Amino acid sequence: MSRNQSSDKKGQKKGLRAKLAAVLGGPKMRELEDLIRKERAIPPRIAVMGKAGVGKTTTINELFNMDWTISHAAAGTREPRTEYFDLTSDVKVAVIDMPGLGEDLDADIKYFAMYQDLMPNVDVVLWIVQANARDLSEDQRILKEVVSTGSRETLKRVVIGLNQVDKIGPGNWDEKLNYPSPDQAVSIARRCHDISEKLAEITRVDPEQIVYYSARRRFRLAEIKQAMIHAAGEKGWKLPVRSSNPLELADSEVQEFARTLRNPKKD
Amino acid sequence: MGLSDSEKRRVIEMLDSLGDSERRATLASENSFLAWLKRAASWLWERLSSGLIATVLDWLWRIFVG
Repeated sequence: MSRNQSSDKKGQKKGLRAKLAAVLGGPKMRELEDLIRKERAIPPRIAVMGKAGVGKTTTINELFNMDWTISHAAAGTREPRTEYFDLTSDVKVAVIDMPGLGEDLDADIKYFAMYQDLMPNVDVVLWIVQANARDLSEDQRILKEVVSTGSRETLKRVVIGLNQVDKIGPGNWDEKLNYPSPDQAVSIARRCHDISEKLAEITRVDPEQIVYYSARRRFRLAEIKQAMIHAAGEKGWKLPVRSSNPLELADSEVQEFARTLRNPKKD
Repeated sequence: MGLSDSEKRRVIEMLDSLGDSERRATLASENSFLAWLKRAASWLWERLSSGLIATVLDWLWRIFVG
């Protein structure tokens, strides 16, 4: 956003605030502002779960347009690790990085209990699965064990993200457009539909809460975000809607063409 | 070299899809804000008529969230 646009937006907000104050009256306006400010100060809690190496860090970084690098260092972590991030001056988010599953059977038993304890206490559970994995039986086993035993209220907060769809074939990722080729788009939709059906049956999670995407390509981030906002219920509005822009990863010609579409020159 | 016609069509399709997805995410966020506000500030509803609520909600959204 340019400096002029930002200043326009600030001016508009000021005008709206004055109109609202005129409708509500000063004391009620202050009460409302205070209420919203206090609520916004409580960061929404997002637990990121899944097997090691599924792209938990990349997903969080691209969803919230930030640069979180601790997860690799914490690959061997045995406890949930909570990090608070300032997304803007008044918006924070708490991300709980969970130990990766599927590496050690004994550890998994302990981690299952840890996952189950945590799930009812967060606003959103983002469970990431690698959509391009050849064998999803282990993911299915883990999800069945951990997620399907949750209460109805807990299940509402779960979003299952099918990541790395850019690696699904037949068909290739179009690097120039940073978008799946038409062939690949068909393959992705078909494979992810099959996975979603299976996972919805196993976990009892609403199929609309199972979303395919690619974090590193920034593909369908808005869809994941929408599912997370929905899952967070009354807390969802505190999650910023905007994610990293996929066009930034496209060829410069594509970026230029997109710019001309958005800002057509006037004769 | 420039973009071919089919590439241009696909970029347009991509931008449309991106715009639609962002609008749906914004709508989900607005619905969530409304649900919270209805519970947290029920007095607001008592004070305002239904026509004014929609306007006020739009203002609040633009001031605090959007």
